[in-house]
Amino acid sequence: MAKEPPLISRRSERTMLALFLGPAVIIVLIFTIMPALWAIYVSFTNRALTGARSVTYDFVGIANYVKLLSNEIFLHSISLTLWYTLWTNIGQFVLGLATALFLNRANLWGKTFLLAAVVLPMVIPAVIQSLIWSSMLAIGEYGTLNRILGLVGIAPVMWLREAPMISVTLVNFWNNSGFAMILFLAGLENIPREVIEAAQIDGANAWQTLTRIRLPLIRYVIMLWLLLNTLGCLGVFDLVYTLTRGGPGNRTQLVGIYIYDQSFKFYELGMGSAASVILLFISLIIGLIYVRVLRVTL
Amino acid sequence: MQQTTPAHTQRTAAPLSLLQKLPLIGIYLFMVLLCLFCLAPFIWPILSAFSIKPENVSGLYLYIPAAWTLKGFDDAIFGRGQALILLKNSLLTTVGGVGFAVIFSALGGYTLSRSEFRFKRALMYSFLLIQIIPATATILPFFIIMRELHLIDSLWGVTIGLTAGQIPFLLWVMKGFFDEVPKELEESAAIDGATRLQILWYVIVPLALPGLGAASVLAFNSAWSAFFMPLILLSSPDKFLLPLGLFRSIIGYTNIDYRMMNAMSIIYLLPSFLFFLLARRYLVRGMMAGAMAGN
Repeated sequence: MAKEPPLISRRSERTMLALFLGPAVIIVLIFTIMPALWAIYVSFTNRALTGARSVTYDFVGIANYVKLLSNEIFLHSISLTLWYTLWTNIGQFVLGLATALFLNRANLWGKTFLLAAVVLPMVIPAVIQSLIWSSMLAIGEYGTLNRILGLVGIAPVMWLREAPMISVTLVNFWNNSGFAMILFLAGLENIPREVIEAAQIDGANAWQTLTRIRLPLIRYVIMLWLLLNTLGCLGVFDLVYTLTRGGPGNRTQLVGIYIYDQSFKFYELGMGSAASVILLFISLIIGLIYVRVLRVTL
Repeated sequence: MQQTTPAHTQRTAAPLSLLQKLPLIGIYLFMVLLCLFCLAPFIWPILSAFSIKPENVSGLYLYIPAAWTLKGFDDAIFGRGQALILLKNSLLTTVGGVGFAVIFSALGGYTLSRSEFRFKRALMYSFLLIQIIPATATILPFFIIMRELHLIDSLWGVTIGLTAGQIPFLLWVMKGFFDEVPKELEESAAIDGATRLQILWYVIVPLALPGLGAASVLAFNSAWSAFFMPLILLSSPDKFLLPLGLFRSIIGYTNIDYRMMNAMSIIYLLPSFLFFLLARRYLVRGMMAGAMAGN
């Protein structure tokens, strides 16, 4: 038959596929990649969000960065963010691992229900998390958490005023611990039973099987969790803003809140961008490590 | 459970001593506490939304209801809560944003799955990187670009923002689903004279549908929770989304009507809760799969 083979020719094939991929790439390019590059550019200027300096602005070199890195309020927000990330990681690692070890046994009654209960807070939007916890953390002896603590004789705490960072961290534990628990449990359940049994026959005690067998075998899971969790902590905004708006004073002004305040409250684009760029670079480095870990093991 | 217990005790030589049982009791105690920690915070919003509070008690506290009522929902929907407008705006932007993202990611994911080109790996890893970089770092320049494009205080702006936000994740997931559809199927469709778009729509999409559906639901929930981006883009109250309306009410009113707020929260939470019921298994399995990829 003279009819041409129906498979589309190589050239039109490529055009077609380029057309398919085009929109996704263009949208991400315009609305995600360009903003990032723009931030780097603006961070070297003294541009403002409104007013005369939003139209005519000058290059100021690294002045914004110098100003930023000698600004106590920014350094405070950086150190708050790092402490928050550190304690969240440590706490959720311990809680996640303990839970995973406890639950990693067959025929535990109520395990499915518990896992469901742990996942539920993870799907709750941040605004609602804050609303719910505003009652838990309410001041006075009738605040729910204060009532619970009152049962063991602890005097009422003004959570959001006296211990705002602890409050934020607590809500994050409620919302986010399930992530570590479920990942670690999945990792542990993936270890063949024979491996553990062999170690036990060789006389390894519980601590040795944990540190020499279990943890090394789930190290990739832990690594991936650590990287993702760290990125989430560094960029946190929704939860903190809806719960405390950075206050009282600047006691919960994490980097995300700082960027928001600089940009949308004080309209200082240069400073806001410089802070964004610093956060972007820290995140990029961690992100590249993540990609690297993933590629090595793919 | 009750019936298997005697058999179990018969098999073991002696009944378990209290000391041996202790760790198990400890584990169950731990599980109960963890469960309480996860679920107890939900008691207040549910009680508060459906009840009349006793007099002389702040609505912020957990109380024993004086009576039950749906007045909170009435206030939220028809009263000053204006939940209908907020719900409409939320649905328009989320469905629109996720819809566009699903279409573009399906097309793009198919290309990534079926064709080889230079920089493909680099492109895939860039998308992965973009997905895990916190949006906080790029929100300010994103705002500037939206302002240049006159998409500030517009529901279209929010829709586009949600689309851009969901594409990297969806693209990766969809490529994975398309990889699992055998190539032979579309080759035979191509021999029958189908075009690429026809093959995609009639052959590939139906086969990958369960996966596509699950991924879309995940993306919907993530977009439904979006707060930061709508917060900086929108300023007119008639364009607010549910989370913004809720937030402005929390900080705006001097005398906060917690019953109304909690009723509104429940309206806002319904899709998330449906999502949780539908996708719980998938959620857990998806997270596990993500981690297992590294094993």
